Amino acid sequence: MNRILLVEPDQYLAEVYSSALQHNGHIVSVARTVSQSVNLLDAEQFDLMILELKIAQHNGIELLYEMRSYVDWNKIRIIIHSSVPEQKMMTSKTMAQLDVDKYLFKPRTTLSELCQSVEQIMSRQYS
Amino acid sequence: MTAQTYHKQQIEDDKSRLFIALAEQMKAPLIKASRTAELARMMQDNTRLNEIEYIADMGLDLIDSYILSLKLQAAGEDVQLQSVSLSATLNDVAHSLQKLQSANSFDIELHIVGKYGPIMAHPAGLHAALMNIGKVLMTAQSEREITSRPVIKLTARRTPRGIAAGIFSTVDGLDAATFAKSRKLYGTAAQPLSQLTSENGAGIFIADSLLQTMSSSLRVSHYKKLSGLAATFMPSQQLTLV
Repeated sequence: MNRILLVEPDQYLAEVYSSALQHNGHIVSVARTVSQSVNLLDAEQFDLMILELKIAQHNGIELLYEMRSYVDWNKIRIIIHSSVPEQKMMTSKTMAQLDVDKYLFKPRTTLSELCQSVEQIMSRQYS
Repeated sequence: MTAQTYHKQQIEDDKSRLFIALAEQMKAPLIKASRTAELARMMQDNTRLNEIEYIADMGLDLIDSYILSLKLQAAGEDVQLQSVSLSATLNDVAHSLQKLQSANSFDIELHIVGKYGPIMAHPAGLHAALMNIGKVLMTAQSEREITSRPVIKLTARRTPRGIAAGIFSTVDGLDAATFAKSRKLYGTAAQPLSQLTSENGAGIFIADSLLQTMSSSLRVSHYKKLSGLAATFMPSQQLTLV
């Protein structure tokens, strides 16, 4: 069982993704904005964050930089799950710098693939 | 390049950008429908079929608005503007937006200041434009932290230039400069209205295109403490004479 922070601005998709992740045995907290994410990161402990980069008023990458600047949040694994293609948003160098575990292109990622990615990353973490 | 060729090229560029914006925006309902179907299978929950239907309808409405904007653009000066009752249209739009309450919890309010005659507009185009603006504002509102119950307000009021129809909400981040910039960015940027919504807001640009065919256009406006978008229309001269 992993504690996941799902950063998803779309209320409907947030409910769909969190239902699927909960169905797979994870504990999920949802944030729709960057400030909600920071508040949740402050208040709770998470193993993994699933992040949409397109967030109103802020860019998800800003949140990533913010996170990686705090030691407490450095251990949190990160999956970017965005409707923006990887090559448009991030170079492999930036991915490595920000310690991003996986970049999933939302339109092409099924719920099963998302859940599988979570399993893979978390099993690597604890192996 | 002559001025006329340049103008034609500009129209073609705008059409392409609007099409790209629509295509990008259509990914949202398609992702929702596809993932909901997968979740329904995963959870063996057939009640989610209604949600898929609703999401598909939203996508279809957006495509219909886009097609209507193209048809009206193609008609050019031959667009048949008619006398339209703005208050009746706003009332109708408010009711249609109210039906979306199953997905979003908003107060939809109608505020029509004063009495006035009809305006000159294309009835279906006006309805589609107002609906699209309302939907984008509702999406934007649903992405914000909820501090009090969200409000979407539809208004009509007389201005020195004509009669203005507006849709307002408690969402901040919309100002004239941001909106002017977004008009240049849509079709190329992932989030042309990033201060407003995480989506690309194609509905607003389709609404703008529809309104331009009626010799109007969208502008950022404020109503009391709410901000939103409004368009001004000429009063119907024909009925003024009557």
